[in-house]
Amino acid sequence: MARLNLWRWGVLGLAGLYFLVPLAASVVFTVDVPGQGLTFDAYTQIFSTEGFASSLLLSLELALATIALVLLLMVPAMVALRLGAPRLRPVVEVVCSLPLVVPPIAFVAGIGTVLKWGPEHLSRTPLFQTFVAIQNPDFPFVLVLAYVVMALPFVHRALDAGLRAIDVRTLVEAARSCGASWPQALAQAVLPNLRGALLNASFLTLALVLGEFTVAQLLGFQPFAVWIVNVSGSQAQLSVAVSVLSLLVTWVLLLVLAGFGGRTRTTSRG
Amino acid sequence: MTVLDKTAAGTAEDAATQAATVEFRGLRREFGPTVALDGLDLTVRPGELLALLGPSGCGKTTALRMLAGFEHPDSGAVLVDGEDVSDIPAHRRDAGMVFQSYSLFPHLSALDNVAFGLRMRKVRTAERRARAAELLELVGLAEKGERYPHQLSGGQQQRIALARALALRPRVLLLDEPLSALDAKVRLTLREEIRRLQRELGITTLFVTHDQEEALSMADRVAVMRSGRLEQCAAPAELYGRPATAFVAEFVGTMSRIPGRIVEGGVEVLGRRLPVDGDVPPVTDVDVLVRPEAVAVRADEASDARVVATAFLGATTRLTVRLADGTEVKADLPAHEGAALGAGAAVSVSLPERPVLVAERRH
Repeated sequence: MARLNLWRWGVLGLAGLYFLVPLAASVVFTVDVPGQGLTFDAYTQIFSTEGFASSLLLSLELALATIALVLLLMVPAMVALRLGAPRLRPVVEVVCSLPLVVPPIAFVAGIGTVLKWGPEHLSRTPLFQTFVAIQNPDFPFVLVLAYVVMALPFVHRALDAGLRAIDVRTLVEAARSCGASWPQALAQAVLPNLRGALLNASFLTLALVLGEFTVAQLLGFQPFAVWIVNVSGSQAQLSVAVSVLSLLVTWVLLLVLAGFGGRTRTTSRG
Repeated sequence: MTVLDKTAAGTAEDAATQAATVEFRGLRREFGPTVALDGLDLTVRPGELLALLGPSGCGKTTALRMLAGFEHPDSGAVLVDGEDVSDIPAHRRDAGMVFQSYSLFPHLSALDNVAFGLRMRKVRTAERRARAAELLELVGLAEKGERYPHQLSGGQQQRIALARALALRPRVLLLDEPLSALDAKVRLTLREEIRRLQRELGITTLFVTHDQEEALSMADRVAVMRSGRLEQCAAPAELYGRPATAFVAEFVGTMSRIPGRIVEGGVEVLGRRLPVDGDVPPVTDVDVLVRPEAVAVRADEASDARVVATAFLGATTRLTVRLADGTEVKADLPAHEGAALGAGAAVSVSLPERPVLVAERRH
C-alpha cells in the first residue's frame, strides 16, 4: 500500500513537473525582464494593446454560440438514435469522428473555396446576402458552423458516455406514463440526468473554440487565438504574457463551469 | 394516521366508481420475423388483478406496453371501458406503470419522484407535496421522502415506483415484472403489499410475470400466454386443477408424463384403467399428465421402478422415480414417508381412481 502510494506520488510529481516547468518558465520570463528587475509591465501592457477585449469577447461569443448550436443539434439526435435506431450508432460514430481525421487545414481550404465560389454563382439570388452575413467580421457565423463540425467528435463522445450510463428508454417511458409529453419527458427526465455529459461536452467545446487558430486565421477573422499570434510578433515578453493570460482565462472559465456543475450536483444529492 | 385513513378510504371510493374494464381484441404485432402477438383476445374485469403469465418471448410484455401506449398493434384494438384507446398517446392513457428495472428518476428525491406526475399536470406545489406524502405513507415509506433513489434499497425503490404510478389516480395499474429484480424475501413481502394495496384501491391491475408461483398467489385470474396467443385465462385453482391444454398443464406447476393407451371408456396407465378428463386426442398412444401430489409411491421389492433422486422440501419430499420403461415420474410424499425411501430404493407407483388429463405423446 505504502509502496503504491509512493509510486503514485512519483508519477504525479513527474506529470506535474512536465506541465509546471514550462509554465513557470513562461511566467518568470514575463515578469523578470533583464535590466529592469521584477515587473508586471508585460501584463499591464496587454490590457492597453488594441484588440484584446474585442478579440476575447469575440472568442467567448463564438464559444457560446457553438456550444448552444452543437448541443441543440446533438442532444435530440443522440437520444433519438438511442431510442429509435440503435443499429445506426456505429455509422453516426464514424461520421462524428471524421473531423478528427480531416486536418483543419484541409477543412478550411474547403470552406474557403465554398465562400469564394458561392457569391460568384449566387450573386443574383438572395443567398448572396446569406454569404455576406455569415462572414460579418463582428460575428463571423461561418466560424460557428466550422467549430460545430470540429466539436462533433468530442461532443459525441461525451454525450454517448452520458447516455450509456442511464436507461433512457425506461426513463422516458416512466415519465410518459406519469403524464409527461415527449418534450417534457426529455427536458424533465432525461436532460437532468445528462448534466455531467452536457457539462463535459461544453467544456471541450469551450476549450476548442478558445484555442482554435487555423480556421479563423485562414478565413481572415480575429478571435483571441489569432490576436495573440498577431501581437506577439514584435514583443517577446508581451506575447508570452498573453499566452499565460489566455491559459488563465481558459482555466477560470472551466472552473466556473465545473463549479456550476458541482454545486448543482451536490444540491441534487441533498 | 388520519391522513392515511382518509387517503385509503377516499381513493378506494374513487376507484370503486371508476374501476375500468380493459379489453384486448385480436391484437397482432410483429417485430420483423418474430410474431410477438398473434391475435390476442382478453378481457380484464373492473377491479381485478389479472396476471399475464408465460415464458419469455410469449408477448405478455408487448400486450402490457400496448395498453400503456408504448407499442402500437399492427391490427386489433385495445379498449378501456369500451373505448378504443389506440390513438391516445401514452401520456394521456391514464395508466400507471411500474417497470421491471429501477425506473425512478435518479435526479429527484423519493417525494419528487412520486410528485412528478402531479407536476406534469400542473398541480400546485403545496398540494402535490401533500399528496405525494400521503402516497409515501401508503407504501410505508413516509420517512424516506428526502432520500434519493441511490440511497434506497431495491424493494424501497419499487415501492416508490408503485406510489408514483398511483399518484395520478390511474384507471389501470400496469406492473411489468416489478419483483423480478428483487431478492426472494423482499419479493414475498412486496407481493403481499401490492395485493393489499390493489384490493384497498380496487384498481384494475395487469401484472406481467414469468414466475408462476407469483401469478398463482397474487392474481384473481391468471392468463397463460404462449407464442402471442392466450392459452387459458382462469382463476388460479382452476388453472392448476383443470388446465385447458397440455402447455398450461406443464407450465403451471409440475407435471409428469406417463405413457398410456386410450381404450374404450378411458385410458390405460400403470396397469389400471382411468377415466379421461377433458378432450381425448384422436390417437391411441398418449401421455397421462399427473401432478406430483397425486402420485402414490410405496416401497415394493418386487417392482422394477427405482427412486433416482430425492429432494427435501420441508413439509414434503419430492421423489424422482424411474419406471421400468425409463419414464421419470415426480412424486411428493410427506417428509416422514419420503425419508424412508432413498435413492435406489425399489418402489411401486400408482395413481388414484380419478379422471386424468391426457396429451398426445411427445417424441
